[in-house]
Amino acid sequence: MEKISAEQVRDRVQRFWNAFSGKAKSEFEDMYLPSATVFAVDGRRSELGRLTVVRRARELMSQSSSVTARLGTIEVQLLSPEVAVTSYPLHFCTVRSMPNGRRYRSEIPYLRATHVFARDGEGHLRIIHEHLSSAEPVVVQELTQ
Amino acid sequence: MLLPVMARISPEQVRSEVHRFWQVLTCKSKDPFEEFYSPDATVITGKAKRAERAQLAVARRKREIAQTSDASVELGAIDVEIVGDQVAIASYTYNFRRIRKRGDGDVRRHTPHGRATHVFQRDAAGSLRIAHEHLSSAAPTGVQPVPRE
Repeated sequence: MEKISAEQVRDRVQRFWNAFSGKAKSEFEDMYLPSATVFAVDGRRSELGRLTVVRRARELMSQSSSVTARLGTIEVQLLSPEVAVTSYPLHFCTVRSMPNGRRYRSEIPYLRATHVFARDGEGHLRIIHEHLSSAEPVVVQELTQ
Repeated sequence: MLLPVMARISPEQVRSEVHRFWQVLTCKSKDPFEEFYSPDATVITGKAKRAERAQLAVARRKREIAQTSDASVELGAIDVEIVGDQVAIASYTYNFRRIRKRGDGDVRRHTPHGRATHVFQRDAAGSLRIAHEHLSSAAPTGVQPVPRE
């Protein structure tokens, strides 16, 4: 199997955020390995990636929701032929639609992201661990319209 | 060149390193803090807006440790994922309390909902080193002055 390159990893990170903001649910789900774990921005503990995907699809990928992400410089560490770690800052803005119809807007100017990628059995780079956090307290505002 | 055959990383080894890391941060051990990290390690912690080189974080933490009069931590269950022969990922929650000595009075800091990711990598000698660390909090860290007696 060919070694992972930093460019490949940066491309995967970009595709991850494109799938998230473009509401491409199937592609987004496919970014994670089945055993992946995630610390969401506001999560008190880690959870399985597939649960995160289901919640994000429900709350952030509906017609009345939105996600925008402006990525900073993506640092890549190639740890072995099959594992790479990325860490980067981003400006992240969401409109979240809840099942009760309420909508909430949050803007996180200093989100910090860690993504650990590993090759799956077919050689594709997929997320095995994700940790998102904000450098500042997150302000959430309910939208009236 | 022949490389030594190394045993697979075990979850117990990783958990042991995590506990040792916190023993140093809570001043219960004098192990050299910088030896936990690989030379190229990166760290995301506190209010930093982006990742920084571990050397910088280590220098800051050593100063903080020297100024700490009391510290304790409770770790949650440590999830360990072994990836290949050389890499392991530990993720867990923590509840961290520390009293820091300052010229204008002591300050108590409490992080009740800390979240940690440690990505470990084997070095050439076979030791586990942190290649990447991300410490964050799901709720703001409480900072309070300690009343003088």
